[in-house]
Amino acid sequence: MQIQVPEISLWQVLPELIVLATAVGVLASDLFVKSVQRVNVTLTATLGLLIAFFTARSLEASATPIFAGMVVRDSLSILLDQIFLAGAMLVTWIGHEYARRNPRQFPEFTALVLFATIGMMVIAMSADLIPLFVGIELLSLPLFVLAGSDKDRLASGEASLKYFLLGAFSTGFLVYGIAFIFGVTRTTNLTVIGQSLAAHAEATPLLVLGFALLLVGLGFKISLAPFHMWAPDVYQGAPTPATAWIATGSKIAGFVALMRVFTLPDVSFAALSDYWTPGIWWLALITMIIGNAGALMQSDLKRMLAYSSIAHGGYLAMAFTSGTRIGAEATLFYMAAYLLMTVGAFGVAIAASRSGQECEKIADLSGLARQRPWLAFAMSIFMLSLAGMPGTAGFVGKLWLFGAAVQAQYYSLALIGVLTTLLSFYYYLRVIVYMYVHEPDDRLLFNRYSFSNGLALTVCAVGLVGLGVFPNLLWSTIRLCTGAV
Amino acid sequence: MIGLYHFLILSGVLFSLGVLGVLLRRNALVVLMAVELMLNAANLAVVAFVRYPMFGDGGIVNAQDYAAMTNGMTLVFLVMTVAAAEVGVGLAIVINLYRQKKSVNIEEANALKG
Repeated sequence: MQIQVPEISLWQVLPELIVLATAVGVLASDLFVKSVQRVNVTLTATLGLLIAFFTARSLEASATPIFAGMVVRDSLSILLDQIFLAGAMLVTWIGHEYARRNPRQFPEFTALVLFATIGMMVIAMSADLIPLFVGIELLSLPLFVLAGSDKDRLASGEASLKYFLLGAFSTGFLVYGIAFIFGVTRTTNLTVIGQSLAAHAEATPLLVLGFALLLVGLGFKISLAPFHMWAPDVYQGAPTPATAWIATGSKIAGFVALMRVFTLPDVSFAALSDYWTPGIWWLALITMIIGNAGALMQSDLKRMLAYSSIAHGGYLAMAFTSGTRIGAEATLFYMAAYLLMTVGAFGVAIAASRSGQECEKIADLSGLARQRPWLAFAMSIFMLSLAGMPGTAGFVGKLWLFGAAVQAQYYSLALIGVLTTLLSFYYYLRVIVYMYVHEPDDRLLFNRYSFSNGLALTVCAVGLVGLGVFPNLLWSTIRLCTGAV
Repeated sequence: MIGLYHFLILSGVLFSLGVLGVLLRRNALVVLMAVELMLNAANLAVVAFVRYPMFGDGGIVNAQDYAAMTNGMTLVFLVMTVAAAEVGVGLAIVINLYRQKKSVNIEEANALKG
């Protein structure tokens, strides 16, 4: 038997390798350097991420899969790499401030964020179900640890336990689904599966079961209702910078996995769309309603943001249901906007701490505008963008999401989307009211926030307004990715 | 004769036991074992699909069968590796819970709700 060694083109995955080297370096620095300076760790991570970012930019897109058909360096994966790397940088910066108050979690925090980023990048470029699965695990395992990294706080340990058990549970569904898809099509390569399904689109029960299990597994990861129960507890209990990365990176990566499996042209299960479209339709509907209704009743800031994140997952799923190119483009745009506004909101939650007391309740933000006017202003931008106020990227993104649903003639879904969006103004504006109208409830002053956090918040706020006014900056790149000229 | 569907039924039973274990048992370690059962059920299914293909004569007879076999076995090995990594992280998390609560009962992890 002759064994063929597939072509290895390491330079095509250079961004991932750079991030890996940075993460290992950061982790190892703790062993060799006596007292690691926080600044040096954050600077190293930033430098590594920047180099990886510009390496990713300079890569040439090609639709030919590499590594024996396992991964593909198309323009979509290059764009998503840049989104993930930028997000990791923002999370590292807001985590830098958090580490000042919790020095024991450093530098593992930064290393774990980087490790999780590699998982996201692997998902973004997978052309096969195997790297997709491995990428999801590479992403999940560091995040389980991150959720529990505040070892002395009860809530953090509990959050990591819940996240881990539900995450492992969902992995079981995912793998079982992949097993059935493999059984029916005799391959795990997405392109080949797509071709064989297009050739004879016969939905055998095993195949439908495989897809349903895959959808359930991914539904847990992106916390679509009714698989969302873990999200509020985990978001509330995990350390805030970890929550920021769980809420953004992991959710975006989950949607990318869905896109890779279900909608991308050529590489698709589109032949079976009659089966999966109604499934995601219902999931999107329930998710939008449950997410927004849940957020209405929260007094805890991180819990409110958790439900809001569930609701935004519903909006993304709605555009996803349309299965059209405009739907995919709108999803991509909204992912970038969602990353900026959610990381920004959690960044403010970290910055708005008082001496010895983290910001937990929405009421803890009372009087922020008087003491830290810029912080309150940035938070207002994030809240308005989450709600979808014109002039912000959140508005433009939502417009396209709803547009995609209307274009695909999912009128009822779009209507529910608009109604729940109107509802969401209540709980987002409530945060602004607390910051600007309410008096501070005690004499404790807010801490000074660090330079790195201020930088991250500035980038998020400027990015949101910039994309809100000039959406074409990103839109043109996205259209290149999805093949429209 | 024993064929594909015998294995699939066994794997389905194992998977259901795993799901029930996760949903019903309250000991974090038993839940962890139940999750492993789910992953192994999937592995069993993949191996059975390789050995008894749904279409064709069965067995490894041509290049296509060979490709399917390597593909499936790669998947199985990676699932096993990931399961091991998951147990590593999971046990650390359970130990952390035990350190705080002196118990591995997941009912007692109830500080977060709302």
